[in-house]
Amino acid sequence: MVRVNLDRDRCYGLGQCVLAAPDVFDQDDEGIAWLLVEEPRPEQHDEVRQAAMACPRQAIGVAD
Amino acid sequence: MSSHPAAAPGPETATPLHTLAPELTFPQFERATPFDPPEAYTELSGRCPVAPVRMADGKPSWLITSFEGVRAALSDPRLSSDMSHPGFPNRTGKPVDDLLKDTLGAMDGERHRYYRRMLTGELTVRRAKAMRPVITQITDEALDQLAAAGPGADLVKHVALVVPSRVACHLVGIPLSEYELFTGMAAKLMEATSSADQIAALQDMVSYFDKLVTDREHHDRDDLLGHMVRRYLSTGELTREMLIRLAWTTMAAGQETTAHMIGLGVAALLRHPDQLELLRREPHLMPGAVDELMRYLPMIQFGIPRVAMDDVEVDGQTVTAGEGVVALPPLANRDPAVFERPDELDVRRNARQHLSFGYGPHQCPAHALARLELEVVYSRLLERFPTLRLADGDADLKVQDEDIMYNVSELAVAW
Repeated sequence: MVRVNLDRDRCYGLGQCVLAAPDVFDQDDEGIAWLLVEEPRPEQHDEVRQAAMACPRQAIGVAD
Repeated sequence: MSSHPAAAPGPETATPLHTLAPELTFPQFERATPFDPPEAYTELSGRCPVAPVRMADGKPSWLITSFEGVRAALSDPRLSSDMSHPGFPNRTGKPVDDLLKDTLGAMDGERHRYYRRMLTGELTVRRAKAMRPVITQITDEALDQLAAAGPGADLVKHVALVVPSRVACHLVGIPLSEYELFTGMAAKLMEATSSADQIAALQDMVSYFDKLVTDREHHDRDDLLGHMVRRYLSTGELTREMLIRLAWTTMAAGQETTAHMIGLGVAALLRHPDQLELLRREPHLMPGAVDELMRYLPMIQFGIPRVAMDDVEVDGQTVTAGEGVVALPPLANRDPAVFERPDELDVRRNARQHLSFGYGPHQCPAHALARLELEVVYSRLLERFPTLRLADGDADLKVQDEDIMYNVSELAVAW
């Protein structure tokens, strides 16, 4: 099982995560990201890791 | 080279920058091929990813060329964007550009975050996606102009310089009928050679935006200016002066950058027929191809400067407080530790993590919009002109290789 953690206080609202994993992340009115699901399905694991890698604020943690 | 400071372990071996012999002067412009970074960097990058260089004003800086080094530098809060700091790298040899003082790009920390959030809300992925029909319409109109001009027409003039400006006008809320008025003012501002000219051009720009803001104070408009007036100006969170500064710098930042990616990107595709053919056969590859073209094309010539507020270790090298660094994304984008066969254009590769939008808190807030614009322009162009080719065949491309953004100034195409 993979668990995603998002630090909204670090987030700068760039939306790199939304581009990488659109079914896992979304953005609020000021661009700040929020999690749609905390435990993504196996077929989403790869894009969640890409989102974590792409985040310019290193605000996303992925725990196996 | 084992004696090099970059190879030394631990910060206890820190050597002050001013005592080292510079490896290069910065920037370098000489290229062996139109799509590769200047050769002098490539040679240096493999040997010394954080290297002492001499800037245009004669002072030393650290040049960072590795992927990890660039990411570390641009995300470290101890490396400041304060361009008025005496240690801030001066890339052009001219005094600090007054125009850019107190813009988002020169702010740090909480103050930067405070203003930045007002823009990011206007540039979310959802907002960008909602603009697809407008971008497509603007693109198709530009392609009509290209078609009307006939084979041999200049893609830069008819498409690359047109689409990003029009999209930015739509986003911010400049009427299309005033599009040429705005681009004229922007050009004057960028081309001003004396500070008197620059101040006059800036005043024109500010008074133009002031009128647009006044309009939004009296009418609800569904555009960036309208939203910012309603959400932040009317509540006192934003001064009129700062709102205008945010608006015009956003417009200016989104124009040449995207325009040059269109011109240079199309040139690169036409010079890589196997990749072009792949995109024609498998159009779903286009979003990935946009990132790959951004990774591959070395547009950022003067790098991204910072000054150290404290001692910071960057990719094994200690940068001492007060020293300047310049991160160079085009080299980091060719780092073999991250990208296999980095010097090949490969539209199938996953290049999403390229650093051409920068990294850290200052990463381009309009990346989603820029990516979408490029995707739409490249896609529509290939659909509309299935036999598109360079009109001048194998002749040298007309590159502007000393501009702030490397670009093709003209790209004659035929079909």
